[in-house]
Amino acid sequence: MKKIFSQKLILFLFAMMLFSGCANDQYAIEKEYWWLKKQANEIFKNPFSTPPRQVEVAVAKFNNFIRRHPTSPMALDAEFTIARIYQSKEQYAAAREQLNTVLNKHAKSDQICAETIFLIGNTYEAEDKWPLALEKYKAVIQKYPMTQRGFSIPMYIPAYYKSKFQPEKMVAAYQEAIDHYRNIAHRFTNSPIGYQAYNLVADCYIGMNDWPNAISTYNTMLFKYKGKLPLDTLQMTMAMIYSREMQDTANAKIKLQELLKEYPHSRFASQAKKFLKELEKK
Amino acid sequence: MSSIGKIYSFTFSSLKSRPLIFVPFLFLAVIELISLCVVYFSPQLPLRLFFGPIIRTFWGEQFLHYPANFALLPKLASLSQKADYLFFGSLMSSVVVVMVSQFFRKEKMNFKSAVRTGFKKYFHVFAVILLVTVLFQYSMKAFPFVLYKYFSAGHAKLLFIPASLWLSLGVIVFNFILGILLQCAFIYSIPFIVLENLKFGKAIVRSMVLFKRLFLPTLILTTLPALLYIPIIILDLNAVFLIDTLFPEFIFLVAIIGLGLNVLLIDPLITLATTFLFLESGKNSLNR
Repeated sequence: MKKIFSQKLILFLFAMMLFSGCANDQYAIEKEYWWLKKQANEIFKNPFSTPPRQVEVAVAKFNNFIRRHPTSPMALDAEFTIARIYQSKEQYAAAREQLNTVLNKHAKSDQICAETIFLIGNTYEAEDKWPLALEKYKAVIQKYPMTQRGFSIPMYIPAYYKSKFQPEKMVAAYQEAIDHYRNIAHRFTNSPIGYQAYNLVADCYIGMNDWPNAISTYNTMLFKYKGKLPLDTLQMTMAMIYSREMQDTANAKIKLQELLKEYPHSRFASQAKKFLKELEKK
Repeated sequence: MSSIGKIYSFTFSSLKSRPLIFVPFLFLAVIELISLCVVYFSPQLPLRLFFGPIIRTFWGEQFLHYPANFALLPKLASLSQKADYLFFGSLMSSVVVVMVSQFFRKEKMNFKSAVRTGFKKYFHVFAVILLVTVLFQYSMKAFPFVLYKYFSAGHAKLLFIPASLWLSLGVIVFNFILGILLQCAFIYSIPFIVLENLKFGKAIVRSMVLFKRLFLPTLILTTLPALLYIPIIILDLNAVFLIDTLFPEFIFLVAIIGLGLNVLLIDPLITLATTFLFLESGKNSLNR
């Protein structure tokens, strides 16, 4: 009896292992997609020396994957990867055509539309057609302001001008971003979105090296969100700005002492203690 | 050193003249290979239905997806090997010890009687291996914990060595040495239980006394074969790098090679050699 049972058990385990991996389950799809991405990464590593035939084969495989697994979360990533492949080969028109297909397919999803229009803007930017790119970025801010991408683009634009050494345009873009985020912050004051918007306003001032306004924004946040959200990060940032940018040791010490008093177990506690010791030596 | 040479000479001649001694190791290798295959297929249907919730609870959802499951594979393989060694290795070690003693005493090798003796002594040997496993698991966690506390208090170095090196290489070296020492301390418990009919507690004490008496030869016989496993340890620690650079299934290949090395080379060398040393030391004690 025991012998028959153990034999059956071994056969059962063997059969389970034999048939494992035969199902077209999520794992099998992930495995297939990972190997596809590996091929795409070979193209991204060196796009200019990749033969056109290799690109065609890779794109065909991605399209085949999308056709066979249309509802898989990786299908969307595959569509974006095809656009990236074209962009890496400087086939910008083909990349935009691919992205427009994605836009039409996922018209009901704000997040996907925002991301896709942003990527279309990226293709114009890569082609050095900044005005067309800017048009797309502004369209995302206008139509999809509360998506992840729409929320971050107002900071992307001044960063572009900074990289191109265009300080006047950078400052103008930061001003626009400040107005945009202040508007969001006022609309959503009592929510984490409002807090995040205020944070970005402060980041804009920091980007312009406007330290007094950055501190003023942080003080507003401390007033509005005290007791509602942890503010140790804010206090630490303010202390560093006071000390390193404004050479105001007194206020820096006050901020650090406040941090240690209100958040004694904060992850910044040991750093704050060290910083305070350094300031007291000065 | 001449005694080490003599012991290894016994070991290789026993394997050459009585290859039957190798059968328990082969059996254990097959069991461990099946376990390893179960671990490999665990994120896939149908095994996922059973193992999915377990992996999700203890390690997280990400390890049920390709290729992240290979980053967890060395850990799961190690756990399954420990379980296999505990349940099956307890029996196999006893069988090997009996067969080695039959060879040493120039008796006729009787596999069936060795297995019978192995079953009789199973629970005592199981208790010894369980104790060693538990001690190793807790000690393995204690050292990094102590280091972490020390460096969290603000110290940047210990014995002029920076924290980063201690917490990476230091922990690995410590665990390796700890494993060797624990194995050495308890290794003679099994021959004491199987051949001299001692109970669990007394066998452990006598094993430690004998280890103290045969400190250097035991250390050499245990450490030398164990050094062969170091490349596998290094490869396991760099699983993520290997997944990205080569291909994810390489980790499974490393696990199979590690299993083969451990069960078919390192284990036989250590078990046979230390058993011969035990028998030789017993003979020498009688002759005094």
